[in-house]
Amino acid sequence: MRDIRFENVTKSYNDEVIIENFNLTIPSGCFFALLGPSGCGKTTLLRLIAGFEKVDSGNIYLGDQNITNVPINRRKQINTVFQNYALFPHLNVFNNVAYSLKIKGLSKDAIEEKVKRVLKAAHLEKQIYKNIEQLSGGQQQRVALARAIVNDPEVLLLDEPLAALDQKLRDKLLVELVDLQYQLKTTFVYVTHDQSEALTVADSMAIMNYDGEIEQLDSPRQIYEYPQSSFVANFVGSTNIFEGEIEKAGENWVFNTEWGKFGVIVDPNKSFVENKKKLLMSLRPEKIWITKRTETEMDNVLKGEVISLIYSGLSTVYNVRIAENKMIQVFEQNDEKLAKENIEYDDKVNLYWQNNNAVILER
Amino acid sequence: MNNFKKLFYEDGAFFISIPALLWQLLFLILPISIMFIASFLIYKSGTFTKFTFEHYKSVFDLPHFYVIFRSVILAFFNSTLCLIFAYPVAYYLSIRTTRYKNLSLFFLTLPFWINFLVHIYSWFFILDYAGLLNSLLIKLGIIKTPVHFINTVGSIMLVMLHGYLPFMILPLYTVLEKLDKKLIEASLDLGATRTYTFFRIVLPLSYTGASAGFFLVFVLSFGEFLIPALLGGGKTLFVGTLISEYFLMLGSLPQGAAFTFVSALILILSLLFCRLLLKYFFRGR
Repeated sequence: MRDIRFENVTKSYNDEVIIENFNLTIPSGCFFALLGPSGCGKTTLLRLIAGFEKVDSGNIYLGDQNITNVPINRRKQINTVFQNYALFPHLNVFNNVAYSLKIKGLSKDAIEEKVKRVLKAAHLEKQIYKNIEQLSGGQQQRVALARAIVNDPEVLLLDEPLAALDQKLRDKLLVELVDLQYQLKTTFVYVTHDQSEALTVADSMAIMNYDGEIEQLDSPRQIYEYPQSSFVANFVGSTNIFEGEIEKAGENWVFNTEWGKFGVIVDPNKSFVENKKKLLMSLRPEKIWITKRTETEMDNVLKGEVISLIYSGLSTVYNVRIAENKMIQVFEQNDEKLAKENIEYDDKVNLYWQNNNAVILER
Repeated sequence: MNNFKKLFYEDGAFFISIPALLWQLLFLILPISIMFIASFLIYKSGTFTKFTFEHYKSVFDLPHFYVIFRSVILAFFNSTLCLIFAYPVAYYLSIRTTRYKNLSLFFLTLPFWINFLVHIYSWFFILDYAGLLNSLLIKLGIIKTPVHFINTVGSIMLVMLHGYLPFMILPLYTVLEKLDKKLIEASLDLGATRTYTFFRIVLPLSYTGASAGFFLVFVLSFGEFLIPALLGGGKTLFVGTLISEYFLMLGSLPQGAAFTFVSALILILSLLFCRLLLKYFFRGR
């Protein structure tokens, strides 16, 4: 098993630089998600690995092998699942999957055996001799996947493979993808703009910004709980950002904002944190406890007024105004394991959180 | 009420096509039907008399009957040549970016903007005794005296190839343009060479365009009349010329009609055969 490595890769289209001096290592055997807004260059990265695009400068390695100038059809260890599947419309399911095996020159029996095994695993035994247009979206997606893995690639590239499917089916196929990756131990590189998809499937993920740079490379949990920038905090999930100044108060840190002083816990690794420095504080909506009562056990409090609430069954999102110029978003699970307070529009509420719920960011 | 609505909304397409259908009926179906009936009647001094199969029987004894087969072969030849020449052009245009694409398409349709007669006559300047081709060949020392190009089969085929090429390029281009380029990428990704991808993916998926162009050129060439008449000095290469002779010169209406229907039947049969051939060539593997 081999890693994929980008080394100082630069790529531009029509004089527009997409990625510049890009470095990234995708560890082998990992379910790796590339997450970023549309146009951030994540698909370009995928196309560079597949060989559909040529780098302007820099190198791409598969283990020790420099594959920068290896043509697409010679990168046999790398296969792709396309966004709209790109199944061959004039071939049936069997021949779509058998396509690469025929090129390899396998015997008829070997092809038949392999194709049938893969299609069985993909729950497509009944569709084996059907035409592509007779299949549903989910089935087409499975054929695309079967076609890409029938050759046992080392690396499987997935370009928003579920984007065209409905939510229920997408959730189901996501779980299947995770299972598949676990069984095959193939490196999956999964490109998506959907943060919940990425959080669900990935062992490791990279968040890319609009400039084609990686903002953070980490496990989904680390990225969600400890974002390194306000871009990441905003892009993965939603958050409340406070601008202010950090101050040392004895052993502890305090974050001064125009709306109040909040206690924060600072990770000693964050070297950018200095006394009296202007920084940002991120506070996730679900970390905040909204109540009309007064509590004494909590570290921090803000008072405000409910401006709007969005009820969506499982949860409710409150928009609370704490000052003329500041709104706070609060997310509450409607689990009602305890007697629930009834909070309505215009209610005066207290927002509580603990020091360790907030994350200090440089930008 | 429901039926009324259906008639106007859902079947609206039928209503708006009535003028065109009427036109077809009056000026195509009706004359052809009359011709069909006339082909079974004896025509003497301006009136049709009794029913007969005579004209159909004598079609096969006509001195020019073999012209039908020559037409088939030449039409096949012309369509095939058009296909071979048109395919690279259509493919090239389909993968071009928009900037040059529109300009190229403009140049492609340019011949249609000029009258077909002018189009054909312009070839005289090239193929004539004192034309460009002869003077060029003499200048280059390849020939000493001018060659007679104008009245030859070769020259007629050359002009026909030129004249019908756009009819082949346009349907091919339409199909190739719509072909999802991701399919080509997918094929390469699965390890296929570019040649393999062309024969397994591009060619089979361009079948509809190729067959549309092929049949269009085939039918037009089969009944070609204008080009041999203008360039060929009255040579009866194609049935078109022959049919016009029956009607216009010999004045034998029923005989011409019978000949027309027999040749139409042979045309349909040869088209069916061509369809099989094309299908095999494009999708057979």
